[in-house]
Amino acid sequence: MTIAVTASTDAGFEDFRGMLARMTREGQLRSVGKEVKPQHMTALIGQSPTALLFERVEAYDIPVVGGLFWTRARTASALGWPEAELGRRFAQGVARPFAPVMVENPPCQQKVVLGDDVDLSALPIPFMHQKDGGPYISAGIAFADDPDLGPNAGCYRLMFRTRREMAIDLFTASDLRRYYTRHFERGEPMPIAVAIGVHAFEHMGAAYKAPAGVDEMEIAGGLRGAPARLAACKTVPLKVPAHAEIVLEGELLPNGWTADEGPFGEFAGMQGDLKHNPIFRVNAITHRENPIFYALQMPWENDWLNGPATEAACMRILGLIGVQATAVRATEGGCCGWSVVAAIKKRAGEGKNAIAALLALPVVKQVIVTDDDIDIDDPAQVEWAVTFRCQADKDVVVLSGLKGKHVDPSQRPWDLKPGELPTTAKFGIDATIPEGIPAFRYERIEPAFRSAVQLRDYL
Amino acid sequence: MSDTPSPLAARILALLQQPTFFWQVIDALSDQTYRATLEAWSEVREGHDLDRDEHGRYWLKTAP
Repeated sequence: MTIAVTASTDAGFEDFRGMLARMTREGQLRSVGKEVKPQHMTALIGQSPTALLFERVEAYDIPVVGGLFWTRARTASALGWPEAELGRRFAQGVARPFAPVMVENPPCQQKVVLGDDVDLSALPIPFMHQKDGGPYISAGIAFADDPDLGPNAGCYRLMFRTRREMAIDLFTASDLRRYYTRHFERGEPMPIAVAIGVHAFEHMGAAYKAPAGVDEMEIAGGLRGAPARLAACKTVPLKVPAHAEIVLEGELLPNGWTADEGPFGEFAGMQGDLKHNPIFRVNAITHRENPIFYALQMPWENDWLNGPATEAACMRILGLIGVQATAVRATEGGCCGWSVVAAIKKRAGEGKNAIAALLALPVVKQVIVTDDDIDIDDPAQVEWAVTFRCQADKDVVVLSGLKGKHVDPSQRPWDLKPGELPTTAKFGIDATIPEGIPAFRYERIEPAFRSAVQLRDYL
Repeated sequence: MSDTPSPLAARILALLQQPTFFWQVIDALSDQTYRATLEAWSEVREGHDLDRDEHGRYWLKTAP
């Protein structure tokens, strides 16, 4: 069986399949021809050095792909950007949004299933983590609209309940929760559509926490450097990416936060709690010919979707305080948001200025600042700088009582009263050369006659 | 929906007499395809109220 991982026929517009084809060419995605059970896919993807496309999934005729954003390298490949440029390119895209354009007869509606014929169990929705409450759609982009607030797109997880119903996680504050609350208070269902299998530009645009009133698909256009292509849904007054592999159309029922949902393996790498959430009733499934189901893998794949936005925010805030950053990395162990390493061209005191600014960002909890001679993509170099350029009693900055996040168990969120928000301590390490120490004290050793020989001439 | 559960749904209902993780449902029905298990799970949820505990385990609300 050959899966059509080929570029879109839509000349000049790279869609999800075009992205997969390019990732395959770049060695970041490979296909698995042997039949696999849906409950085994996450474990297999976790063991793979590349993203995987399962061509044959037991009892389904829909292939499944996963692990596309599991590493910085794969994220860069999906976007078609150099690894070192993720933050910079993201910032450029956000600064230059494009209004989407509409497409007639879109690929995402090549097949349409309506009403009682809808059966979500016909989709290979995987069971991903041992303690999950059920199978999950993890790569769904939910689209909604509001006459006052405008269109909105965001990433939300959905748990399989029945052939027509999913539970959607609207537990934490979000634009979609805000939209839904207005409907819930009126006792009315709210139309939404969920797109599965969209290009990295549209996915990352939807993951971006855009200010209220900003259309995430305009951000997606900025990232792409060309307008996103949208299509009108069949049964709800909403627009979705025209080249999405699969689209679920329906309504959030006005049941409020009553349906059991979770636990689910969360973005911070820990098994989450059982929650109660609204129900998404699906009234139509539209999809491409021979659709590909995308199963986003927690936690790193979810985290890397936000990594470029974190790096862009860091560069922006350092620019605002006049610190020249040469590189910023949102690192994986910090879920691409909690932990940041920045290299700067330092003037006196700016190591700590940078720490203060970066720790002011809502999520960032720990920061390392180095000079610009350190390759911050090399953990050994960063550790070397921390070891030899830092005196802990002078160069470690600790701040207490800042805004925290419930997801961090070290903040003991279970001790909070209802409605009480967590606070957290944060720290930064100034690993720049201390003021008053001349640079020659850090002169690196250099192999003798390094430029005179090349190893390849001896192998 | 018929009042008589399908054989697969009946097996799930029997499991849900006591607190059960979803993975235990899949495991107990490993002689079936995953898709068949999901279809039966849908049937169970459409026809019965399920309770949950803080660990995420399911059981039938009518069970003691």
